[in-house]
Amino acid sequence: MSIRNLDALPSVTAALQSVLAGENACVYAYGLIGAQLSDAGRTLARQLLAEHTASRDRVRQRLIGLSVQPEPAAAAYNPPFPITGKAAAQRLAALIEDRLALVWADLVASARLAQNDELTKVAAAAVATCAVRSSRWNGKTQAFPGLLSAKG
Amino acid sequence: MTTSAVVGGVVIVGGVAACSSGPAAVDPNAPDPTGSDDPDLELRTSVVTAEATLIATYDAFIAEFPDLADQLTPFRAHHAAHLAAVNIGQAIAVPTPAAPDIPSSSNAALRQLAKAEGAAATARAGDCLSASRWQFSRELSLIGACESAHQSLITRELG
Repeated sequence: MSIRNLDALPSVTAALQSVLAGENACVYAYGLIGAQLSDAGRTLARQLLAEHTASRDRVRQRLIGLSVQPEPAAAAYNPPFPITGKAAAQRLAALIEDRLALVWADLVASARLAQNDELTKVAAAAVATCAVRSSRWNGKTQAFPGLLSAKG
Repeated sequence: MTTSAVVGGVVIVGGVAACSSGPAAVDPNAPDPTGSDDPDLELRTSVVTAEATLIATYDAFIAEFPDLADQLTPFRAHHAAHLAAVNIGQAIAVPTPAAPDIPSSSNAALRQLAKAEGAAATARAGDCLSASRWQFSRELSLIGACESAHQSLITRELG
């Protein structure tokens, strides 16, 4: 998939499935992340796990409402580096939020092309939420959240 | 085990990365709109003005409160990147905003910046619905997300 090519801009349902896959991956990842943290970090991980779970469920319902079968979560996901210790857990948390921001941004594009204002608004809000979450883990942000982590 | 664009380290390279080489080149297959050919010229001009105003505010506050420079300089740079991305081909004359009023303390400056960033984020989220081109809508969502993160970071700094 490449949205650099107009012909390949995902449909709204395809973009929603990508968001669903991303939210499922985050739900899985926060299980790994929370296990490596204590105190405030673990509390934040639990809070964000709940937020991603709720977001995943909303996206599933939206697909069902469009008469589209939501794709199931994978049994497990392979993290990009070993999640051993606090620093790795925080790094992964910031990374997945940045990457998810970009997946939601792709939905902004698809929804805008479909002239679906309600979904465009929901997706844009989600991009911002992901960027804020990422900044809570690493204390910084990017001019275009997710673009640098996508390159890496 | 499987990989995903969000967690896995493999798919991301061929997936999301392939569509995200840079904000100014979201759609290299289409010619960049310039000047009067651009259906989003009015919106771009509005965003350029907003970003220039934020940059001027950061410049003034950093000059007045040098102790904030380390924290605020990266944020100022983000706004400069936003302005450059939105002003395709430098088709829009960047305005020189009036100098902002200087707050009485560095904390007051941070509060004012947090408020300005929050207002900017809200405006960009609304702009996503106004953009004629989906590429610009996507770009605006990322700009607004950055501004939301600025607001959150500054607010947390204030405690």
